[in-house]
Amino acid sequence: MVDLTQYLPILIFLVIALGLSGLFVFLPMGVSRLTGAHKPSKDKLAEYECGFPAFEDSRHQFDVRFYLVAILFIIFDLEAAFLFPWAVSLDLTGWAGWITMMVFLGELLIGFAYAWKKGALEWE
Amino acid sequence: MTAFFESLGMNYEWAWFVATICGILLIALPLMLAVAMIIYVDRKIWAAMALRRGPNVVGPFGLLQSFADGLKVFLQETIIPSAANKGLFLIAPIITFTVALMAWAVMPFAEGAVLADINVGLLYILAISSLGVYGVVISGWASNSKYPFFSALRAAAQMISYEVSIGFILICVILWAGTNNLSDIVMAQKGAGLGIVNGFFFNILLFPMWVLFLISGMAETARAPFDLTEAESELVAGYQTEYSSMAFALFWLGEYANVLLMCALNTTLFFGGWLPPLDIGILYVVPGFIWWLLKTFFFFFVFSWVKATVPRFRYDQLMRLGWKIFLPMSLLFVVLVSGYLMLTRYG
Amino acid sequence: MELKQSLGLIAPEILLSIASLVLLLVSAWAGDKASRAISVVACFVLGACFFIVAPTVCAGVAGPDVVAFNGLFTADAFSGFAKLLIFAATGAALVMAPKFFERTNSMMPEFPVLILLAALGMCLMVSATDLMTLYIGLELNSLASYVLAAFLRNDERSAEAGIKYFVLGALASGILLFGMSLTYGFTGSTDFGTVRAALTGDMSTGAMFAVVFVLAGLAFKISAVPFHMWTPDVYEGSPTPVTAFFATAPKVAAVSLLMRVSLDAFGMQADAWRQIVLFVALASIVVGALGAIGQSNIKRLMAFSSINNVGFILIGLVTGTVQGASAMLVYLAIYIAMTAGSFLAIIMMKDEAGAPVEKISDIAGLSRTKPALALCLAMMMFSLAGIPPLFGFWGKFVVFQAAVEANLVALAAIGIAASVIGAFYYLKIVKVMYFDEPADVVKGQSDWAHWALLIISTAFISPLGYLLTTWLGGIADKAAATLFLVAA
Repeated sequence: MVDLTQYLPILIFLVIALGLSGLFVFLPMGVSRLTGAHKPSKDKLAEYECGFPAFEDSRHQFDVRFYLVAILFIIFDLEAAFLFPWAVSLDLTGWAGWITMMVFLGELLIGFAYAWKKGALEWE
Repeated sequence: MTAFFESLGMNYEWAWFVATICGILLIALPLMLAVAMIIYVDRKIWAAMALRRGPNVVGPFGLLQSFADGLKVFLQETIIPSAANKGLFLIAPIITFTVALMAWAVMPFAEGAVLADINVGLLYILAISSLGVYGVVISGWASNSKYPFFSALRAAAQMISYEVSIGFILICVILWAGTNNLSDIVMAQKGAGLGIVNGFFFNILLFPMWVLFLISGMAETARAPFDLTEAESELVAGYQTEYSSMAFALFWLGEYANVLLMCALNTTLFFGGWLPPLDIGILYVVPGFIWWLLKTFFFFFVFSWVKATVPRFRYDQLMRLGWKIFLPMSLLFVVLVSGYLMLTRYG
Repeated sequence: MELKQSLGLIAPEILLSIASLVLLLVSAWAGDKASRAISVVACFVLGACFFIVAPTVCAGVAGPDVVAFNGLFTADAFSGFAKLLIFAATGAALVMAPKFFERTNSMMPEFPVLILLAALGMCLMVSATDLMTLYIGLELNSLASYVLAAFLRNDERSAEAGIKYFVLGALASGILLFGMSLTYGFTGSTDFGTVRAALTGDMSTGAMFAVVFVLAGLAFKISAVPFHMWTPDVYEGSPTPVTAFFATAPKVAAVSLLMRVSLDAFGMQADAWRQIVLFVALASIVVGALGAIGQSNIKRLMAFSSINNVGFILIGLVTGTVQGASAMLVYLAIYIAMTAGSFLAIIMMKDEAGAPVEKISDIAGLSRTKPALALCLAMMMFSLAGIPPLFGFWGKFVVFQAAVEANLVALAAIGIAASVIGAFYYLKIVKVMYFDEPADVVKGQSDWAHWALLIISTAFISPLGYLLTTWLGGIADKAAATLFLVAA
């Protein structure tokens, strides 16, 4: 069994790190109210623009390529996730494990070649 | 450390708890201090390469510049744009900074000097560093402003693109070391090069991977020449445009902490971590932590050097480099490294 | 040795995967021109797979000799029978497609590749003897299907069908996966045999949940009530050849999978799932029959027809006997011929410009303008309604016979009553074609390949089909027996 107490320090670290960064964000907000630096106004709170008021909503459609990259990322990152356990157990799985993984990589490579040829990796 | 607190009369659980808290603070606080100093160093190196003097007013040689900057932003007003999603807007810097700190939990600074010596250390680092993209995307979305939005899209695509090849590069290292645990990876590098050099870089199959890792690290942390996410001539300040005060500073701190992490990973994975450069008895007299620090600082110098000298990439070049060159190359090396190991070590 | 044997047993799957990968590369480099050639090659590959599998079905192979990869996969006669049906239905879809898409210049070489991948997924589904293999096969089939549903990507309805299918399919996969993880949790294994051994005697509430969730997930895939909501929309929106494909091959695969899971993995708990399947079967028959009545689009009508038919097939499962399983296989074989034929006739109904005609009112008086087409479609409808001289009757007959012999007389009676309601809407189409004033919309000419396939399927469901009953019943019995042999 995995010794879960190994991971306890990480959990404690998470709590401390969250507390620390929360403090950094919220403490200055309180301090600025005390020092009088907190003086919001309508123009100050407007979103950043070139000087004119914004013409349109900033959340509009964007290029479909970003989706493509995201989908490709999911495929390849999952593949990497398969490789991690394989990489540390190569001595146990031997040639059968190696060949199986190579077949898997080969299949993936075919998909990659297809995406490349179809222009999924092109920008412009 | 637990033993020390036990000797003060605590029972084991409490001693362990206090020791862990101390360990965490010993990582987090020096890390923040290091980040403050490294920002100063970065500016100095950059200035020197441009034949300027850099910060030199606050304190001796301007050493206290970063602290003055910190105090300034601390006392600033936190502006939350009226169009922003307030909750998400404030959560984004918290995520960025928390994640940047968390990754250090498994980093071995010297033999045994590691907070959580888990056996999936490298996987943990990969997982945590991929969480970093959330801070960026959320900040860009929550700002509800044009430039942060574009920048967040760019940053997300860029970070995930290079994460893929980083994943494969790490596989090569894991294959060679035969373990996921960072301390064991360091120990596996002892005399790895010709029986005398400590480090995987001195290996014909892993050297190209180190080069890819160094470059991918710069892209992953959006350092120059890959700093397209905050290309000031196009995107003002990128996803941080709408931020001010400490919320803004947290992005900075987080970013530099990530850069330091990349330097530390270069050290740990390819340059023998806390081991001296050569496997010679006399060099072990110097404490491991000093070696680790020197190597990490050296890599930071490389990062600064690159930032000062290499012009920024175009976005299409960046994506082409990641998907069409780095990804196939790192995949090829996974095959080569594992094939070589099968023939020589396991076959 | 062990590995070599396993690889031999999955020869058709290996052939399919290599073919689809190679064709994928060809499609990327050769472009749209190659669509037709790739379709032809894909048909030959399916044919080759058919002839690899056929001998094992005739021989009725079973037992540990045909179990590959330490119990992850079996190539027994039951899976073989299902595979033959799948290859036939898939091949039919491939023949239907090119002419349909070429009119709008939307035939892309990826179509046959996706169809092959879906077929590969279905092969894994019917051969799965482990929850892992099951899920991989199911997802491979589903993912290819989602893309196929949205294949006319400039067509709004097709895109809508794809999205709907994807979202609901993902939900169903989630439910199934949840059930599978519960099964694993309560039995400690994903292997069907071990699960079967662990689920004996009184079942805990958790294990009961596992069975229900797995069945619910699979019920979605065969579009059985109450998980049928997606079917009419997806069938209507998808391109017609794809709809024909959805209504045939995946149905065979998912029903066979359901049979194996219920009779093998959950075989010791037949009393637990029998009530669920009973309800699902009756509800499907009734909802399918009633839902079809008000439809004005013939593809929507066929969707309800498929829901209705799934209900009849499931009656065979309720019996839980070898005879019931064999009846299901016979029904499936007849069902795919009827459905593929009907869809072929629908594809062949084109207006002057060659655009597909889907409204029922537009085919009024078809018997006068296109007598041959009208005759074929009418025979399909009579057969689907289960009217005696046609072969569709035989499928319903064997299923009801199995139900009666398993002492489920009431169920058989309700089924027969419901099939009378169902007959109403099939006959309505015949009436519209033969007795209404001609709408004179259907004018387009059809390809010889479509005619050939339509004539073959019509001949199969015509009274000529009864010549096959002994032979078909024989191999279906053998195939069904292997299922129980593994279980025993």
